Amino acid sequence: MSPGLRPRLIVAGMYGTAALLLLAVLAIRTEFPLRWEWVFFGLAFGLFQSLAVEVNDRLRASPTVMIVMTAAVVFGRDGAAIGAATIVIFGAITPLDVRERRWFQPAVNAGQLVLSAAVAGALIAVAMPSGEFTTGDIGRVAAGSALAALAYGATNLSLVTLAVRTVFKRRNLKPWARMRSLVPSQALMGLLGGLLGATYLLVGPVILPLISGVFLVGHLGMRAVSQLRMAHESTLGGFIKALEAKDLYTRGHTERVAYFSQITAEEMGFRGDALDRVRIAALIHDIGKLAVPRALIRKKGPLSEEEYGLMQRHAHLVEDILHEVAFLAPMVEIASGHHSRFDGGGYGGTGHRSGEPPMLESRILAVADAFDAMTSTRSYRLALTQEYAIAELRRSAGSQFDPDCVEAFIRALAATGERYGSPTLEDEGEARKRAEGDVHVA
Amino acid sequence: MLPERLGRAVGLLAWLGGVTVGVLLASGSARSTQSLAAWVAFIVLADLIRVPSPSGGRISLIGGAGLIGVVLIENVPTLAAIFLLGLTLSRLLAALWSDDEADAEDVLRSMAGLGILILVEVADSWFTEQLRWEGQWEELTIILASGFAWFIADAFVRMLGAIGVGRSSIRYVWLLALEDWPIMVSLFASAGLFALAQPIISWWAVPVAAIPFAISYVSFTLLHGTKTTYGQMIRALSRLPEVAGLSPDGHAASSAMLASTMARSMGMHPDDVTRLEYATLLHDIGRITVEDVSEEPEPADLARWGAQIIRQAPYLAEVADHVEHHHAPYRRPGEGADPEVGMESRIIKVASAYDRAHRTLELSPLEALEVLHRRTAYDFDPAVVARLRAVLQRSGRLS
Repeated sequence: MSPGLRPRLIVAGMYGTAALLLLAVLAIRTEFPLRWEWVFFGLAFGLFQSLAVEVNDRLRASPTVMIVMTAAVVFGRDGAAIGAATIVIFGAITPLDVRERRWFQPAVNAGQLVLSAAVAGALIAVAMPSGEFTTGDIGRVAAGSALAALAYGATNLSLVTLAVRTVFKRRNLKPWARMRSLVPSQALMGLLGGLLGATYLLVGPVILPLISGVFLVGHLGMRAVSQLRMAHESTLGGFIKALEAKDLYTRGHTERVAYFSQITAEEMGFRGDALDRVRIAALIHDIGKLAVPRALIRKKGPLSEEEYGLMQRHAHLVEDILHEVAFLAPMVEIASGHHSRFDGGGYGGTGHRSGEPPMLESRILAVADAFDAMTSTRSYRLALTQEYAIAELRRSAGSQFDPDCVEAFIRALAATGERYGSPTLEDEGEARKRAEGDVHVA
Repeated sequence: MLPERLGRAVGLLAWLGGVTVGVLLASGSARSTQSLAAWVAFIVLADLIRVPSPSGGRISLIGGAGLIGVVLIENVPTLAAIFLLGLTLSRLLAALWSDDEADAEDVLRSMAGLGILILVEVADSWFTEQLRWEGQWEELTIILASGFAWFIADAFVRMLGAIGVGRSSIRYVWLLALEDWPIMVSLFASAGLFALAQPIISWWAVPVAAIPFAISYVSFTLLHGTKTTYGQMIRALSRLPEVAGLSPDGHAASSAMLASTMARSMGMHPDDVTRLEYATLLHDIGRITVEDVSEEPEPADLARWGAQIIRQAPYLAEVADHVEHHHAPYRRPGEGADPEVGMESRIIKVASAYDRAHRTLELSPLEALEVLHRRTAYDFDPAVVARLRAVLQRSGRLS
């Protein structure tokens, strides 16, 4: 899905021109605050922009909004707009952009940052007193700065969404849902930025080293958190690969199921930690097999009652162990419920009683698991077509699967434009018969 | 960590001394009772709030409150009186409300901190007189110096506490204490911010100092929680081969316990101890890839398969290296020590072999150690085996 050059050139040109025009107007009408503070805030903005951490899609830790607000207040009524609009240029290009020789992202970034910061700076200029700054003005400036931070965030998000929509036509973006979840932290950072700016004006530059220390340390902590969160997933991933290495037929199965579950959950409105939970639950949904005797996993044809019981017992043991880990407990519950039918039949695992409908997350996982099972080759049958698999999911919707999850999955899959399964093989019986003929297709 | 009886005596003396000196100084100081009470309440509050620290324990905010006192009070007797009264009250409250014994080392650490604050205050007044250096940048220097000195003194007292107990080496405790630097930076910088701003912007200084500290506090707490869950997850995954019947029950956990005790007593860096603990927990993980249970695979293969699984997580790259080499003899006949086989891998080999001899062969600790001795100097590093003997002896398992 490589986007064309034309829309990119248009978007980058539009954003760049708008930003340049705005800067020119500001430069003519106001005085440029070229003081050492300008350099300091610019460098701070650039540093924290390049260090930004995304803990998940709901928690994006970066004090850059605060830096813009502090700078705008420090530059005063006249310099706020142009000062804020110029320091953000320090953050437009990241080292990664330079290394990969990207031009589109930096250009759009520069444009949208300049425009957003100018809006915020103008709002702060309104809140600033015309005479000398006194202690009595702190409250008004802090409140104005919180509002300005929200305006900054909204402008920023709309411009990014517009750019992405124009260039990548099919992307499914929900900017306002995202904005709503960011409002509290954005307003708090804005408020703090205003307070710090006011403190700077009244107390002096001596506060800068102290405040930089607190934020740098807090930010390094956040980075460590995000690294460790990724480590959780990649550690589990190593075990999944070990599991799949044993069985040629399920190679890649877990990753695909995790991907299908994620896009379905996203389509159904899951965000943040809830979305992570669905994806990780899908990653561990087969981990119980690690403790199952090999001969059973590789056995062709149906298992005997006794063998099936043995397999379940071992899988349950693993589920019990992982369930003891507080972080994994909800994911284990989701994963262990995915064998249950929507109408309440089937076996239920840890945290799920048989006879009750499984959790929504388990129902999503069940659809993703079944789709991948049908569209990939197994030891007992070849892969079937995507159309056959979708028809089969719709046929069992309401009994085995949750109809809402089935439809959400089909919509999400269509939005990606990807295709899975065999291009031609439509007949289940035929697929089984052919698999018996040539045994070792992988 | 001081010996128990001595610890209690020191703690009691510190309390009594604190109360006496506090009352004496408070009655002699020129401040109004009201402002004194407010300061004492402030110190009590700060000492009761404990934040999780990177080294694993909890740190009270009393250092930050003390620093604010140094900048705003500028009178040594008053400062000492307030600090001691506050400390005593908070310890009494803590003893009333919570079950845990007042930790003598904790009190000592705060007292050492007070000493440092007083020293800084005295040095500051001397500098002001001699150099006529006044103003904000001078105050900033005091703040940085106090914070740094408090941090070092605190780590030093913690290190002294390790002498004589012998469970962990002094070097390990010192390095562990230094791990707390981020929380110290954010605590003292926020306190300094408050102390500098309060005289000018009055109570607006509270949000100005508290919000940034709260933000960094959230990140420390998140980090602490994430580290804990990560450790739990590794522990849970380490039991997979045991559940599948491929490894004796409990082997991973007790080898890891032994290995990290040995590493701590050797004075290894705390980060290395954590990695060693993970590596020992996962050293047998390669067994989950074994196809045919009736065949015992080559130890080198098992170690390599295990390392492959672990290496999928870039975060555990070093852990994977330790596991990969843990099967290898530390030197081969006629050659010197193998540089490929690091100290961590040698410890894993010894800890695992001891636990297997003790657990599967059901040998007594002394007999198990004897089995190890027979293969020492080729398979096992003599220094590591000697360390194992020392650790077992200290825990009373050899008698």
